[in-house]
Order: sequence, then structure tokens, then C-alpha cells
Amino acid sequence: MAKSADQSAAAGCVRADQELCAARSRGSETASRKPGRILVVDDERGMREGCRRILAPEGHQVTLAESAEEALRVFAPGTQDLALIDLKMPGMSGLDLLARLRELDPELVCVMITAYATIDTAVQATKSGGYDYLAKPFTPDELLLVVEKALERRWLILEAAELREQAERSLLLVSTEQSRTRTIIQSMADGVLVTNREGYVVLYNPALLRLLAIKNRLPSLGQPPSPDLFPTELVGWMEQALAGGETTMAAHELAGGPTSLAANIALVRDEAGEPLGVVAVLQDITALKSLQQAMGDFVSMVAHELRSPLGAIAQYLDVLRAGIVSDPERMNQILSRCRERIGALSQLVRDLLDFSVLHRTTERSVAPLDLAEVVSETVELMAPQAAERQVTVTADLREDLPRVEADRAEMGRLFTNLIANAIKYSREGGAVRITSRLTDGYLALEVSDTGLGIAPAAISRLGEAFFRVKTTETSQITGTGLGLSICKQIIAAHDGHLEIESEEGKGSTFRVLLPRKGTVSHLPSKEHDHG
Amino acid sequence: MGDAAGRLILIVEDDADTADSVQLVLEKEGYRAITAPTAQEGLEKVRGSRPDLVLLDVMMPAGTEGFQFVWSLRQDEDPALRDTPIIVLTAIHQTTPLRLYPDQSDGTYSPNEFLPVQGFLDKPVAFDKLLSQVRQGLGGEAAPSDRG
Repeated sequence: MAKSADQSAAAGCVRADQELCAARSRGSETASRKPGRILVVDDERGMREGCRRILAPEGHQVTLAESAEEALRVFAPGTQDLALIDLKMPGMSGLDLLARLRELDPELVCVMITAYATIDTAVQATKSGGYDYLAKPFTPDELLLVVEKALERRWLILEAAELREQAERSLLLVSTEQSRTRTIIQSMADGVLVTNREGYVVLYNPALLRLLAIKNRLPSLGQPPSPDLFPTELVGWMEQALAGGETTMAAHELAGGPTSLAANIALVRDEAGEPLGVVAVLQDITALKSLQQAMGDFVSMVAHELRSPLGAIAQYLDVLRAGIVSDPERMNQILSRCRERIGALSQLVRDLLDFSVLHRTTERSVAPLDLAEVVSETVELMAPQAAERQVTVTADLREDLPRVEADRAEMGRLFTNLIANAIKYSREGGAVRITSRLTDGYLALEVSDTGLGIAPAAISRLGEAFFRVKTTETSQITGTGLGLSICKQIIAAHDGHLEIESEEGKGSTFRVLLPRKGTVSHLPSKEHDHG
Repeated sequence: MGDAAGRLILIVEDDADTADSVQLVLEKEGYRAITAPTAQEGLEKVRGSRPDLVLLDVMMPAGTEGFQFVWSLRQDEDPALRDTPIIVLTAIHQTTPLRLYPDQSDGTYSPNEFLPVQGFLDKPVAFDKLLSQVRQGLGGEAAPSDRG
């Protein structure tokens, strides 16, 4: 029986072969059609091979199976686009295979091949999930037409699935995006407050609560901002933005409280340009404000420091111009004073430059440094100034002075300033000594003088920019009031400390404590004995 | 010029050179002049030397030192010292909200709002203005002030 079926199929195939060329020539118009992966399940070998001969030249990938069982062995979901299934096969029937395959791959399109095309079998096949049926014997054209239709169906199914997947993916994206935005707003350092077009609170973040010091009660969403929690100014600005329809970002400064806040208010519009609500972003500008304040103070101090010597010079020149002084010696003395004051102004400018460089310097060329060398060089450099005031300067440093990690140029400037101060504030015939000591983790270098000394009240102010000790005795000493301030900065940059001891009328000691190599992070306790 | 002879003027000024040039100008004009670099020394010299007029720099190192000098002197037990004319040397009236002297056009003022002094001079000092202010302070026409 199988044999006769084979023969009839073969006969059919011959007919099919005859028409193959015709089909191919017509196929040119379908050449652009997308080829599919087709599984042919038929117990008749001639049928299987015939199908392959017709389908393969069209570009289709054809897999053959001689029974339902074999078909199930080779089939895996997603590997086939279309299955052509013989309805009547020994073993598992075509209908059962159809059901199995549809179960395995619901998107697989199945076409039943039947020798007895009756309404009955057709109905049965489509009921079981078959898409179409093909009656034996069939021409290549008929096969190709059915296959084409079935594959179109398949592509539609796949396209729909793809669309469905895309929609699901973008939904997922949207929800991820929302949670990401929420996370960003929640972790921002700036405070965020959003009100809707009714002026009701719709969103705020923890930073807002922190900046506005809202602690005990949380703002209610969907309510107008409570005047107990929010500054009236802020609420007012947000209302104004909504009422005024101003889209431009407006910056305001919130007054009061220990922290200075800047509020940026922006109206948000939808695509149609209708106001959606208002976003306020609050920033802590306390540091900025104090920086501005410090800068303003510094500038006015500099201006004051410039005004005094300039005024003195101008008045002296007026005295000379008006012929008030006629004694040549007195005239000379006035001119030298003017020259000195101008020298001091130049020094002030130099110090200001040092000062600004030190403020900006983040990179120092720090290397193990022999301070004994730096100190003796400095002493040599200061010799003319010392000689002029008849002050003896001696460096008496330990032989085993350990090296310190320091910037050579800055250490030079530090000791120049300290030794110059000691000479300036010495009496004629005085003595300046530089000595060294080792303390726990620190190297101490002391610059001591037998000079005028400093009143206790003034000691604490030494090192403030432009502070100078003023007494009758110091009135002729020129200085910028920046020298010690620069020293303090240099010492601080090297993790060190400056200690000042002084007794009025007897002299002062300026002690520089620098961490010894390898102990940089070690800080001495307050009780630490330096004496 | 003749009026100047023998009149003693105290210059309270922390800048020695500025004080020196003012002293030279005054001495050339026939005044006697002494100087003090701090408000404290200034008060001591007022009591010790009893000057006829004080030229006072208000912007001394401690900031308000000059103002303290004025209030201390105006509260002195000795009525003669209390009324010593003071002329303030400064440019401060341009930069501070504190008005040092009542407006000439406006007679109404609160005594505490104004520094009870006889006049003020910009620094650097123009010598002709300095001398005319000093003459005025020494008893020419009286400048409006609250000396209650």
C-alpha cells in the first residue's frame, strides 16, 4: 500500500516537475518574497522529495521527516516557520502531530496535506489549528501559492509578536526611567519642590527638608505648601511664577537662618505651552556667601593699607612743595621717609602676590629638606639688614637635624619673614637666635629676639592679615602686616603649627613646628610639652 | 597768624609720617604741636598738656579707637577738658552710615547720632583747609555741634 502511494505521489511529482519551469519563471515576481524554513512531514518519500524540489529553488530551507515521530524529533520551537503535514500517516496521525507542534510552538503555521480533500477533513484540520490545506495531487503552483500564503501568515504573526514585545519593552523602559528620575531627585544635594498648576505640592526631596530644616512634620502632597513649613517668600515666588507665566528661571536669595539659600524658580509648561506647575530648586550658598564676605573684607583691608602710606607720602610732598621746610637735612629726611614708604608699598604688593599665590597653590614641590641649610642661607641673606640695625643674628642648630618634607622656596620665605621680623622689632644692639629642638614627632625651629616684645592681647591677633602691633616704639617700623599671615599659611600647608611666646620689653620667640619625616599625620595633643 | 602764637594742638594719629607733616604745617603757622600715636596716649596728653585743640585720626588700628577718644574726652570730669575742640581727620564720612556732623541745612538731629566734634577733614589733608578748620575750631565762628 505504501508502495502504490509512493507511485501515485511520484506520478504527481512528475506532473509537478513539468510545471516547475513555468512556476520558476512566474516566481521572479515573488523572488523578493522572504524565504522560510519549512518542515515537510509525509510518509511518502516521493511527496517529500517533490516538495523539496519545488520549494528549495525558491530559497526556502526545507527539512524532511517521514513520520510524525521523526518530525517531533527534529522539531524545536522557533526553528521552523511552516509545517506541511500529511494527514494520514502510519503511527501518529497528522492531526495529532499538528496539535503537538502547535503546543510546542503556537506561532508555527501548519498546512495539512490530504489525499481526500473533503469538507470534513478541511474543517477538522482548521479546527485543530491548521491554517490551510492542500489536496493531493497538487501542482507546484498550488504548493507555492499555499506556502506563500502560509508564510505571509507566519510573518504577520511574528510581526505582531515583535510589536507586542516592543510595546512591553518600552513600558519597562518607561517605568525604569521613572524610578531612575525619582532616584536622582531623591539623592540630589539641591532641594527640589514642585507644585502643580493649582499651586499644590506634588513633589519634594530629602535635601529640601534638610535645607529648610523641616524635621518634625512632612509636607503633605496634594495640598498647598504649608506656611508653617515653607518660607512665605519661597511660596510667594512660586505663586508669582505661576501667575506671571514667566518661563525664565528666576534666582532669589532666601533671607534669614544660619544657611544662605538661593532659590531658582522655573515655570514648567506642557507641549501646548500651558503652565503645568512650578519647580523650585534650592541651593545652599552659605560657603559662597562667606567667601564673598571674606573677599570683600580683604579688598577693603588692602585699600585701607594702601591709603595710609599714600596719604603720608602725598602730605610730605605737599610740605616740600609748599616750602614749609627749608632745612636741607630735614628735607632729606622727609624724602628718605617717602622713599621708605614707597618701598613698603612695593613690599605690600609683593606680599599680596605671595599671598594670592599661596592661596592658589595646590602643588608644592615637597622633598626631604635640610632646614639647617635653608636657615643659614637666610641668615646670610639678612646680614645687611641686621648690620644696619646692629643686631647680631646667629643660627645654632642641632647637628643631627632630621630632614623634613617641605617645599624649599616656601621654607626660605618662611624663615626670611620670621628673621626679618625679629630684626625689625629688635632694639639696636639686640640679638636674634635661631635654635632647634626635637619633640615627639615634630621638629621645632625657634626664632628668638631680645626685642620689644608683644602685648598678650596682640599675640592672639598676630597672623591676621594686615594686623600690626602699634605702639610708640613700633611707629617707625614699616611692614605690611602680611608677613606673619604668609608664614602661618606656609606652616599650615606643611601640617605644622606656629607658637608665639613673648614678654613685653624682653623679646619674643616664634616657634615653627614641622612634622618629622614619616610622622606627617601625627598631631600633638593639646597638653603636649613644647616648653 | 598772630592768633596762632602759643596755641597748643595735639595730633592723635597712628601714622608717624602723616602726623609729622601736619605738625610741620602747624608749626610753620606759629602753633605749637605735639603728637600721640594712640588714643590712649592721646587722652593722657590731653590731660597732661591741656591742648587748645585736638586733630584726631578716627581710623586707628583698633577701629573704633578714635570714636572712644571722642566719647571719653566729652565725658571727662574737667569741664575745660570736656569742651576741647576736636577736628576729625578721616575720609570715613564718605564710607560709613554714621554721620559725623549734622547737615548744615538740617538743624534737627539726635545727639547720639553724631560725633560731638567741631569738624572733619579728608585725608590726605589739604593744608589750607586744615588751617582754616583749626582757626575756626580755636574760637572763630562756632561750628554747630551738640555739646549739651
